[in-house]
Amino acid sequence: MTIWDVATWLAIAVLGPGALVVFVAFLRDLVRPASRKDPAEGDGAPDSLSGR
Amino acid sequence: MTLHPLDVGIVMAYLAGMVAIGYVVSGRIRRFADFFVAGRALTTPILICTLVSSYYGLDALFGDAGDASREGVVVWFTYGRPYTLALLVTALVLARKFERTGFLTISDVLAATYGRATQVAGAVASFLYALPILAIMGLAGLGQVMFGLPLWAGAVIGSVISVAYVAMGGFWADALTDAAQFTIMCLSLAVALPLILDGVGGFAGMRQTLDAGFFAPLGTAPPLYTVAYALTAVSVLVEPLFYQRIFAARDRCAVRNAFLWGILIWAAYDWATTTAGMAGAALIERGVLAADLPRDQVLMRVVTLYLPVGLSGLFLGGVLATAMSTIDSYLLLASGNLVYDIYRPLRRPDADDATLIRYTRVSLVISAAVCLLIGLYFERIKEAWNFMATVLTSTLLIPMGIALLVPGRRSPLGGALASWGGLSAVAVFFAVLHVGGTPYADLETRRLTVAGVEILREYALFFALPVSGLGYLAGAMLDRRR
Repeated sequence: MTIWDVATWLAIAVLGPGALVVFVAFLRDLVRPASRKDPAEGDGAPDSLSGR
Repeated sequence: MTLHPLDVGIVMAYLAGMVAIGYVVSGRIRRFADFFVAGRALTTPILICTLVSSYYGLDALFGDAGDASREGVVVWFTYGRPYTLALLVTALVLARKFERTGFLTISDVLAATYGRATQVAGAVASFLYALPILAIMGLAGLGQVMFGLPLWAGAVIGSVISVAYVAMGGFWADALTDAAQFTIMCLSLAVALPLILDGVGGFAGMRQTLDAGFFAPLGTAPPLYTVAYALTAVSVLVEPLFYQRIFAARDRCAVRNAFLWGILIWAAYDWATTTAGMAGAALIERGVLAADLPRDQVLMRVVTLYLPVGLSGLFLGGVLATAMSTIDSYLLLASGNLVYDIYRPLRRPDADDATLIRYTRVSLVISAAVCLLIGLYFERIKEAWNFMATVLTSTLLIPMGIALLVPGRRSPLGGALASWGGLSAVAVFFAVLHVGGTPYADLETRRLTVAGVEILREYALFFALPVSGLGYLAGAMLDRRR
């Protein structure tokens, strides 16, 4: 097995089990109630970047 | 290609599921910010899904595999990793500047920094870039392969379904469907790759067949061409899709972490397509695949060669997900550009949220129709995409770079001259190359020789960015004199 094959199996691990882990985390967040308020709520006006 | 009825049923259920998601989340839409940035409530996992699946379309899947089948690992190392660098800058430097700013689009940033002229230039460039013409035509090709549909029918059906769920649920529908699409597109490659690798005898088998140049990380193309290709990575810094997701994030940690995980997944995805493309090149050398096989069909042919019935259906589902996740996201962006960034400031500054949402829904249909017209009537779409991506970078890079990274007062006239100057320079460059240039078959591009110097189409940024930079300096000087 060459270094290129090892890289390929690492890619397979990221795209297979890795993607599944992300999807499960997404589902967990989906069933959790949201708790954040939109900063633009109320005025709706975009801020300026000046002064940063 | 004949699909098993079960495979057809799965595809139909998938499409119906996308529309159902749009319908279910439509109840969440109250304000334009709900519709366009999902109420700024996205967490890291959903951001990872929507970043990865939206940014990587059929060009990344079939295009990169095709390039790798011609050039080898240079596609991953030299063409791909500059994007990783630009993504790291976006994750670690740019994303944190927008926490709690209230922006909705990249043009909002330009409007707040330079004024309306620069805002509209940015919106025009973003709209041209965001039109998902390639993805819609790729979907049409898929409909032809999977169901024997005429090209126009596949394109229309795919567009109608994408528009339907995004029009109902806006960015919420987009992001939620992206999560499913992300999983399918990653898993389909993860399942296919071991079978392909086994089929060609691993990299040891490929080494016996392929030229050593295939394994050269820096490749064998002219250095300036390679640099120009790598330079396209700066487009990441002004990618409207990324800004929309940065503005939609719950907080800066969520978006930073999503980018960092995304970088890992994008790198793995790139390596998978590179490997599959090289496997295709080995099969061409061995006479298993036709030598005249169009390069963007290499991956599909390799997959059909090694994947058994059922798994090839899964792979086609992955291809469908790859195309649709790009189409829905970019259609929403293009529609937002038309309504929120162009129509609203120029005609209806006082438009309320309900009006903006209604008009954006109509604009989704218009944007899809424009894509269909361009896609069905112009054959050389790849050239059009190259033009659109260059337009985006040339118009936005200098003004956005100064807005985000240079402290002090910014020049409104400088912003306008930089953006419109960059936009015009690209238009002139491509027009000259189109009229006076000749095809360059080896690199699938066009070239023009001026005073013994060869200029390729990919060199557009070398001309347009200095014009944009000089435009800013000239505008800043004039502003100072006033």
